[in-house]
Amino acid sequence: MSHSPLLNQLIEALRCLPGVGPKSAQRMAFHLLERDRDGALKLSRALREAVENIGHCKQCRTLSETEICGLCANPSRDPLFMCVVETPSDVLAIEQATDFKGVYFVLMGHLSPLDGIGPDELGLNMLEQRLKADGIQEIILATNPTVEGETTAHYISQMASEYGIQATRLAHGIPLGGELEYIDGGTLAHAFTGRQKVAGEF
Amino acid sequence: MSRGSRSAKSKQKTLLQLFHPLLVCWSGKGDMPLLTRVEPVDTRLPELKGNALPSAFYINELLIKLLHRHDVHEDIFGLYQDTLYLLADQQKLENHLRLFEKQLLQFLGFGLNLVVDADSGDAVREGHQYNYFIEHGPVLAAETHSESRQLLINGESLLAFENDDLGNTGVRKEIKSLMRFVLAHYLEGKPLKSRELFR
Repeated sequence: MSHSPLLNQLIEALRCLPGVGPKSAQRMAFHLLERDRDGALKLSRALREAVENIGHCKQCRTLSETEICGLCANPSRDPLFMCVVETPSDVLAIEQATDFKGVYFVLMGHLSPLDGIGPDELGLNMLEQRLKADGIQEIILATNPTVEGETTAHYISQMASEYGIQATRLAHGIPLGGELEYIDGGTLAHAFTGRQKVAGEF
Repeated sequence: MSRGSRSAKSKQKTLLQLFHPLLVCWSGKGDMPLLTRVEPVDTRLPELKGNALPSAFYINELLIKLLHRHDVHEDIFGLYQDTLYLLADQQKLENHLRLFEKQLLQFLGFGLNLVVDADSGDAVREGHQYNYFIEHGPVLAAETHSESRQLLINGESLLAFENDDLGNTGVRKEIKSLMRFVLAHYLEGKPLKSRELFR
C-alpha cells in the first residue's frame, strides 16, 4: 500500500532512528498526525534547534551547544584529574554513580582499525595536546572492557607515560550482588587474577 | 571467523568479543546471515595485553585485506589461532608477526624465495647484498641495474629468515622492511589502519 508523498517522506525520515523499521515508523507517523500534532511540532522544533546548535566541546569533545561544555567550565572541577570515556552517556553514568570531581575527555568511540577508526578519528591528538599542556596528574581510563576498549586504553596509557602522567584503569570483575555460578568465564578469570587483599582486622 | 551482532542480548554480548574462539550457528544465505547460536569453545582464551592488542588487530586486518570473502582456508585459520596465543609473549611480538606474514604468504601461494639467487640460480650467501624483486626473489646487488621497485637486503638476513631465526636486531629490521615492501605489493595500495595503533 502506498501513502501520500508527504506521509511517505515522514515514514522514511523516522526510519533513521536506531531500531525503527518500516512498521514502527508508520505507527509513529500515524500517531503524530492523528493524536499528537502539538507534540510533533515540538519534536520538529527541538530536532532542528538541537541539530543546528549542538556541537562538540572544545576541551572534552562531548556534545555541547556552548564552545566549552558546562562540566569543563565549572570552576569547582579539578582539572588535574581526567577521566577518558567512550561516549557522552558514560560521562552521565560516572557522574551519577561516583563522586569523581575531575574533568572528562569523551572519545566518541573506540579504536577499531577494521572500521577505519584510528587515533586521529578519536581526537587523540587533541588529548595529547592536553596531556602536554595542562599539567594533568592522573588520567583515568574508563573505556569499556572490550578488546577495542582495552586497545584504546593501552594506546592512551602509552601516550600518558611519554608525558610522565600516571594512568589508571577502572577495575573489572564480578558485579555487585552477582553469583559466581552464572558469571561468564572471562569475567571470572579476570576477577580471579585481579583479586585484592582483604583490608581490615579479623 | 564470526561476525558479531551488536544488538545481541547481554548474554551473547560478553561472548562476542574479538579474538575469542567460538562455535556459532547461523541461518540465511548471502552476505548477512543471521547468527542463531553462540557457544564459547572450551579452551583457554588468548591473553592479549599491551602491545599484543594492536598486533592482533594488525593480523586481523591483514587477513581481511588479503583474503577473499567466503574463501575457506583451514590452514590459515590454524595459523591465525596459533599466532593469537603466541602474541601473549610480548617480548617477541615482532618475530611472531613476521613469521605469521611469511607463512600467510606461503598459504596464499605467494611463498617467498629467500635462498636462491633468482637470476643466476646460485645459493644466497652471507656477506653479500641482494636486491629483492617481488615474485622473483633476491638478485646479487652488483649484477642488477638500479630500478625503483626493489629493496636492498643482506644475505645473512634472508638466510636467517628462511630458518625462522629473528634473534638479531639488525636482521629483524631488514626483514621488517622486506615484509612491508612485499605486503604493500599484495595489498595493492590498501593502507593498514592498525599500523597507526603502535606508538
